[in-house]
Amino acid sequence: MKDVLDPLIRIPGVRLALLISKDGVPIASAKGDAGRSSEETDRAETAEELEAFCGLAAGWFGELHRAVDPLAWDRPNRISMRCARGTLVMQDCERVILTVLLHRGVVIDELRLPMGSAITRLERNRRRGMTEQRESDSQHTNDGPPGLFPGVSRSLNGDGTDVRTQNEVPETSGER
Amino acid sequence: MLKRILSSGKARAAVKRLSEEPSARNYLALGQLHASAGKLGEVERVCLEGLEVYPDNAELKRLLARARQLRREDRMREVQSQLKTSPRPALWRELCEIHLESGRVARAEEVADEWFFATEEGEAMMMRAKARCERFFADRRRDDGRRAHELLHETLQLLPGDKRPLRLLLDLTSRAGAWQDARSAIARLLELSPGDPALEARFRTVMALAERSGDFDQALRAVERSGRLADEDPDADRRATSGSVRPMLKELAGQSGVRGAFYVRGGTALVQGPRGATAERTARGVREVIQASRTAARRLGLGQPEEIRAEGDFGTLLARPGSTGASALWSTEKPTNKQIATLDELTATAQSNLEEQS
Repeated sequence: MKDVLDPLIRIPGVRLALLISKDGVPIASAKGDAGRSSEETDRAETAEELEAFCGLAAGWFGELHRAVDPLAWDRPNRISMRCARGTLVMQDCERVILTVLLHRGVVIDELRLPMGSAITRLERNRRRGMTEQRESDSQHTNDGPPGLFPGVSRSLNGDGTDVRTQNEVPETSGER
Repeated sequence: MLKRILSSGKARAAVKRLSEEPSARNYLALGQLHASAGKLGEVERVCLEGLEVYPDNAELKRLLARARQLRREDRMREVQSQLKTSPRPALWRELCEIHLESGRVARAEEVADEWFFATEEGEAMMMRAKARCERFFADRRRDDGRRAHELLHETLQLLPGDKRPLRLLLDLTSRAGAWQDARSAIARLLELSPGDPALEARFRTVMALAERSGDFDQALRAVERSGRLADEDPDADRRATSGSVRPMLKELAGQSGVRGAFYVRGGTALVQGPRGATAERTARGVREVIQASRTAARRLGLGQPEEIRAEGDFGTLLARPGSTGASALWSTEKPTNKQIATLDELTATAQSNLEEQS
């Protein structure tokens, strides 16, 4: 996750970059510029405050979705709010929300491209993770220790692919 | 030198045009010329004169506010440099007041803290309480209200017999809707000014309200939940906003790519674009987006929202909230700067109309 958020916090004016689950649980966080003054003191200094911040931000995201649901619009994929003491930008990415908190005065559009890149990196990481998982699963099936319980017997056909028998009754006692 | 000569020539021409045709546009042109020459006092004078004739003009109001802000900033720099050489209470107080007038409440509180830790004076504590009260009135957060209450009680210990902290306490408690606390503040004020008819009348009103109100903490919770102070009239939301808002909405809705233009204030919404049941449903959605965002901004400690934007396959929904109402635009394309400026003007016009009505 570090490679997803780090490029964002290097942008001048970014105070905080977060990955939040849809139900408001913080997945990863990175801090950028400290507040310029107490006008912009972060409300996410400690871990507890960070959790509360993520919960509130995800709550706002959900509320906006619920508000536009009756309009027959597709759900917004990017929402932003410029306020007196900072700007919050949230972008949807399947199961997580990429959230960035900016200093006052930073133009939101400047974050459009970096946030898009961060989401692409996140998706690439996820795809890579899924591939690795699949590979390790298949390795585990072939090379792992024999199971304790009776299972469906497997055999390899001529070209080496895994072929399951159609018979649900185990052919062996479970111990190979 | 050359610039000054040229600008004075242009200013003379602008004055001549204004005397021939005293329109809002000519007042504005003259004000802008003075602004570019750095004559802020002149800008203020021209804007005030123009506003006497055209009190609704949003551009003149904006220029006046900007000129005043720049003058305050100039004075702030002077005061800060004087404070470094010879710090004294009058300068601390002036600096805090400049920050408060400019809406920088947290900075005002920082300066007041600095002043208090340097001198431990009651006046400094009073300024800390005032700044925190302003913060509560702006953001409506429970923690701010509670802290303001504590600071006011500390001020009362440092300045016994002073009416100002009691008046501020009365303001805080009555705006929060904590009528029991407001009643005791008035009672203490009456001890200091017995027989004051205004206070006595207010005491009688508050007595009736105090019977069915909760404590201070409950009142703060209600303010944080609703985002509305007790002295804000909910019926004001239902009043007609203005005749001049609708043509602006119509003009916005007629532009290419614009699917709808809205002005939302409390439970009322003016809509141009969608029709019938769709208009009603869309207005409700836009209102909910704005309300949810206001509440979230307050809870996240970000202060008042200035712009809310939602983007998706439907296009862009852009809302520009003001202190009371909000204007919004639903467009299939990215809103242009001109459209954003029109939204701001719409919010300002509706606000000034409402102030006139009240």
